[in-house]
Amino acid sequence: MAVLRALKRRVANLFAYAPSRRTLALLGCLACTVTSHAVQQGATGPATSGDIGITLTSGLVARITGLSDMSLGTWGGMGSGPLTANDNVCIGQTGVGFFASGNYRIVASGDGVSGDPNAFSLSNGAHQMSYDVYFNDQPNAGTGRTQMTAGVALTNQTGTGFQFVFNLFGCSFENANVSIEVPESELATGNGTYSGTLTLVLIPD
Amino acid sequence: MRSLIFLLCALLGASAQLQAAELRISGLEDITLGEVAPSSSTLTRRLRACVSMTPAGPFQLTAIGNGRDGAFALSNPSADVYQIPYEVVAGQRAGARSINLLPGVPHGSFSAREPHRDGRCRPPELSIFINIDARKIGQVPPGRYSGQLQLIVSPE
Repeated sequence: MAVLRALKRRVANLFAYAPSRRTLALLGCLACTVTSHAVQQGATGPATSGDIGITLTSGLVARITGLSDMSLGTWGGMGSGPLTANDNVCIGQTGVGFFASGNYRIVASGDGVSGDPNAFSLSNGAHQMSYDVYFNDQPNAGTGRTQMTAGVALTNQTGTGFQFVFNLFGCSFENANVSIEVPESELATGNGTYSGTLTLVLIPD
Repeated sequence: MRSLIFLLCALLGASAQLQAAELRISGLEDITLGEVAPSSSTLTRRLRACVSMTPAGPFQLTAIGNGRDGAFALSNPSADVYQIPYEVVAGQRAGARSINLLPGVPHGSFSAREPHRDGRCRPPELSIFINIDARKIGQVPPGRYSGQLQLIVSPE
């Protein structure tokens, strides 16, 4: 009988520094224009002044918070159904208003199996079993969730209240959900304690 | 008598010329921070400027930014409602008190010496620190932010 102790969700506080297309276009434009604040040394005189230019580029920053390890518990045998767990998370990015919405893509990958390095798999050291991953761009694992394919971006996710990353501490409220399910057919093949890591990558549009 | 008056005026003029200080600030460089992500830390860049003064003596430093009302702030032309503020701190000697400059306000307690004959600066150098709270970067849209900082040096 399989005991799934914990599906560790990696990338707690993933800090994806991903320049948006808009930022890249701006940088590209700067490469072909002459708009720099040139330094000016002071001239000698009864008073003197000089100028310095200061520049920085703020890229788009996205962050997933609220990740928690998931314990699936102990399976009760055939007929007791699959083992499931879910967790509400917070997805946000810089430069977006507090209640604005934004689009993003999410990619999930697991520990892999032979032939598929991204496969959603749990292992007891000798045997692997697969599981399904679902994502909902709303809180809770409701009917609006979508099953994910390992390593393939789930597109057109909309973050309502797509949070404005204020200072990297905490999340105002959770606005998405990740859920997993280990089917009975897989559980029936296992024996012992299984664990694995699920990696999530957030890509703002 | 007229010749004597002229002579006295010439002497007084020359004396006034000898006492008038001449200053120069140099060694300035633009500060380019590159791509910066928000964080809980403070970004600091140090500028080592040279102030020379003939004759040597005390001077005051005034800093003016090009944010609103001379504020020390970086802005983005395509999103000018957003600004990233920064601090300007000046000091001359290690261990000595550094001064947080206020925009447009002269600050004293600095001193300068005459330059070398070849124009090279004599110590102490003037250190200008630009400090940016990186959390502020997370509060503005992505893009390029820039500003101009004017440093004015005059005899104290």
